[in-house]
Amino acid sequence: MRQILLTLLLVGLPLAALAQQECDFASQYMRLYNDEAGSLSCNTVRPLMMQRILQLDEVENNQEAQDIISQLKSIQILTTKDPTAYAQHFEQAKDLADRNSKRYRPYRSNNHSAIYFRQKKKVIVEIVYISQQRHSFSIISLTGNMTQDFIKKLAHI
Amino acid sequence: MDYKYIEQLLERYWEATTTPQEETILRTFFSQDVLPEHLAQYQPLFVYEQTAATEQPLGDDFDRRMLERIGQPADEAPKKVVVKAQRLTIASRLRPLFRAAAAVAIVAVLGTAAQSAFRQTDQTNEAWDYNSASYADTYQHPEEALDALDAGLAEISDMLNSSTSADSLANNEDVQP
Repeated sequence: MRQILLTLLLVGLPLAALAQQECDFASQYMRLYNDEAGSLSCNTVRPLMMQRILQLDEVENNQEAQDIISQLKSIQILTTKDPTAYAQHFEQAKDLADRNSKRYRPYRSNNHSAIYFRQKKKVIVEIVYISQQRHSFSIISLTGNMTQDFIKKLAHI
Repeated sequence: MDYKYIEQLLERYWEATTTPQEETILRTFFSQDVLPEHLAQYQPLFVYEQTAATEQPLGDDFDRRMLERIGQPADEAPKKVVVKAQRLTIASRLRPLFRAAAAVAIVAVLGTAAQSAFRQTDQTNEAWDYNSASYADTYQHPEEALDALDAGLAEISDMLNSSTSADSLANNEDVQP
């Protein structure tokens, strides 16, 4: 009996640790607000693909692109096809970020878009971009180990 | 043949009122080889002493001979197991719980130590704490993924460039482009 308990404990701890890993904003929004019809869609570039992008010739030969992409781990681009839901999603997404203000600090905002950062000490681990345009709504979650220099470079693309 | 006398003696024998002489008569009677059917059932009772005397009792070396036969030396005969009553205290009852708690503590301490060790090595350039296994690639080819990445970065870049205006938030002392 004791051995069974110990085994369960040893198996359970890593699983619990894995389950406690963070979830990015786009994934969380998708989980919370995607309806049964699946009106939200999400395009993902995961860390492994990001490494493959870095090996492309056009990136390898472009130092600026390499500097930016090397700090990225993933990108999630969440969109919806339903034009009538743009405003609702925009407000919901901003509300979700604002409700988690300890996690997502507002960085820039205007009437139709907002940027939030999630930081760990000096490192930006996630940039969340929420945008509502006339013909589109999107949430972009960039994750990685991004520095202030990254933001400067990104602003001057 | 009339066995009334014997039957009377038997009745008195059952009532334990026979004299030694009468019991001798009974033993003599039942020592016969041929007995009436209704009295034959009592024969073993009265011939027991005679047959028991002829039986050979178990010898002193019986145990030794039996142990040798089953291949166990006589001096290694199973000892008597002495069972002592043991008083169970609360501490002894909770001992398995303490052990389990200790095991949990050891695993937790080791896990925390390992985790902090990994974190220290990664702290300088690896703060990223997302679960990469939770992502599923949308794109099969890096070229397609790069196009999507470019589009996403361009949108964010536009926002960063366009909102150096008054609606930008002021409290961004940690990160300033």
